[in-house]
Parts: sequence; C-alpha cells; structure tokens
Amino acid sequence: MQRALVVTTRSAEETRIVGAALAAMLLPGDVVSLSGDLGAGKTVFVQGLAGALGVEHRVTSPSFTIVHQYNGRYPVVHLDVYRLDSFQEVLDLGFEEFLDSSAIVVVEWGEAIGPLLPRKHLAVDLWRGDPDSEDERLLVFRPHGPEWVRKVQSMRGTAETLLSAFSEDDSGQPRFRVTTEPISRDHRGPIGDVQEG
Amino acid sequence: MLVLGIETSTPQASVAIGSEQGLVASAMVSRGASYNEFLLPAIEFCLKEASLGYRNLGAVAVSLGPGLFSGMRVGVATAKALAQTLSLPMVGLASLDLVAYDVRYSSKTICAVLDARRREVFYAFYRASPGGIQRMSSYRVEKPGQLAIGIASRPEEVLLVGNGALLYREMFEEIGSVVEIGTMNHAFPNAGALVELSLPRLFREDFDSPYELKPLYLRESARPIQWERIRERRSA
Repeated sequence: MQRALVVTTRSAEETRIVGAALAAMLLPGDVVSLSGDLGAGKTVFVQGLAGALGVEHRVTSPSFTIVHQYNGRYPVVHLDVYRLDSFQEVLDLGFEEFLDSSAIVVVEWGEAIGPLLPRKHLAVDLWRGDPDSEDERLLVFRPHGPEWVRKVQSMRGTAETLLSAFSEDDSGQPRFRVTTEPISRDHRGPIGDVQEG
Repeated sequence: MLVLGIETSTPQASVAIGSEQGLVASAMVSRGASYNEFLLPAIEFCLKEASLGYRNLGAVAVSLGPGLFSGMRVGVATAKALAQTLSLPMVGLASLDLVAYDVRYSSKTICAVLDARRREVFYAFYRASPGGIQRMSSYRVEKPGQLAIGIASRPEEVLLVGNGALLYREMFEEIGSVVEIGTMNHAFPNAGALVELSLPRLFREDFDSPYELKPLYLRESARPIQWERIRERRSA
C-alpha cells in the first residue's frame, strides 16, 4: 500500500487552509478525487483550494447541480458523481473532455469512478476525527504517481507554514503523520502513534 | 449534391460542405472550444462564407466515431436534428474509415489508430481498393501493446496512421522497419474526407435512418457505479 499523509485539522478554517496549501501545487490538467461523508468538509476544502487559485465566485457543493465550473488563475471544474448511477452518466457530463481541458478537476467521490480517472491523480479522503470533537477532521492524502508524491510532500511544507501562521489552535499537538495503513472509520488512532515519515 | 459533413469524435473537430465537384468550405478547431460551442457556429460560418443557406444542403454526413464520448454524441445529435428539420437524407461513417481513407494511396496494409484514452486505442485494418478503401477487420479497442503484438505477427508491411499511432509511436516503432507511422497531418479524421466518402453512398441512396443512427461505442460504459462497495469500504 502506498504511503498516505494524514493531516489533522481542528476547525473548518484549518481544513480551508490545507485546501489552499494544496492549491499551490496544482497545475492545469491535475485531477484531485475527494471522498468524505456529508459534513466531512469536502466543500470547505474546495473553497480553500479554489480561493487560493484566485476563484472569486462563491464555491458551493455540487452535490445537486453535479458540475460547477469556476475561473481563477486556471479554470477549475468541481463535480460530484454521488448522484450518478453509471459510468455512462459520468461520461455524458463530458468527463473526458474536462480531463482533456486545461482545467484543474476536483471530483467528489472520484474513487467510485476509478477506471475513468487518470492513473496519476491525488485522492483525498476526509474523515471525522476524535468523536469527542465536533470539528476535528482527518485529511488523508494518497498520491497516485511519483509527481503526486512530490506534490504532497511540498504541500505538507506549505500547509505547516500556513497553519502555524493563521491557525488559532495552539494546542501544540502534532498535525501530520505518514501511514501505510488503510484509514477507516474505526481506525483513527491517536495522532503521533505512527512513526513519522 | 451539397453535403454537410460533421466530424467531432476526436479532439480535432471539423465541419465541411462540399459536393462531387469538391469542397466549398470547411472549418476546423483542435482542442480549445467545446464541441457544442464550435459546431453550430462553424456550420453557419461555412454556409455564410460559401454564400449558402441551410436550404441549399442536399444531405448530412456524420462521423459516428469511435472516439470521444461527448464529441460523438454532440455530432450525431446535431446531424440528426438537422437532417430531420431540413428533411435531408443522412449517412454515418466511422472515424477510423476517414483516417484510413486519407492515406489510401499507400500500397501497404493501413491500420487506422485513434487514441481512446485510458491507455487504449481504437483501431481497424484497411487496404486500398479502386476508388477508396476496404476494411479488413472489425472496429476494436485494445491496449496499444496488444495491437503492437498483433501487427508484429502480420507478414506484411503496415502503415499506422492516426493520433493513437503517434501517441504510442515508440511502442509501434519497436516492431521494426515493417512499420511506418503516418504524420501529424493525417492524425485525425476530417470532415472533408467524410463528405467525399459519403457521396458514393448518397448516390446509391444507401441512407441511414436518423432514428436508428447512433455513435459507435466500442466500450461498455453502461456499467453501474458500485456504490454499495464504496459505502462498505467506508464503514468497514
């Protein structure tokens, strides 16, 4: 299993900041797949990402409208395949053309349409964190392809800088860990119990 | 007979108007604009520049792919709508036939190869025949490596043409000197070839029904998304 970077955020604002840190690594043609239950912070993450790419339009969830297109420094296509039932419906949206355009493509529930995703992409999985905390989230970054491994490494640096500059959290608890374990609902583990990578 | 040709099944979309006396207008765009933004304005541009109106058209020819999913659908839907509204006969032809037709002067076996994305190619084999080409295989979709093995096992020289041949040229060139790769100029099916190739069928009145014509989907895309599996994975 490929190594994943797990980032713990303790507020929606922090999730937004991590989205912005990822944006700094993105180039036209890049594909980011997002997964996460309702309220996990997918939209907030994309808001941070799109804002950092210079998108001024308000970013909302595409769950019902399916595709949103924004213009920032680069075009951003934000789509959600959750309400679709077949690969054909995804293709009907012009999915392959989005991939072919010079847009950054963020696809919510991209893991469901794995065969349609390019081999090189980034999967981001959002989970609720500590059950005692309303706001804690785990953001799991899984790079597919060597370019994405590098981008995730750079993003970590940027996210550390941005979080230490802008976050109001001063608990001093570690936020980053690298794991080769699959992350699931019941496998959160206390932060710091996995060897740092 | 003036024929309107529509080819939007690859990243290079084109429209052409012509008759047995030759083309009178054409428009092409590569990438950039989306098909539905390009198509109707391009048709109107061609008509206007040739001082023609929709009423002057005698038939509609459309490329059925195989190719890009939305491109094929936009092209075929637009062609059907025009044929029905203007009461024109229509014919559909395969994109691969158009690519092969472009290099019909070669005495080698022709293999038209178009990029199918997802590391696969669409292809078919042809040979030149008097006045055109003859297809010698079905339309297929495969990994380029598999196609390369198939070509390597053939006894004759093969001319590979199309953007798929260029994209995976190193793989094909490894087969050796029996393989020749067509240039960029022939990499995409074009509406001019479509008009030309449609004329014999139109004269024979070998029309396609607008109710039955549909794109050549070589891949099964009706497969349902496995939502149950995703949910199970997440709640494991």
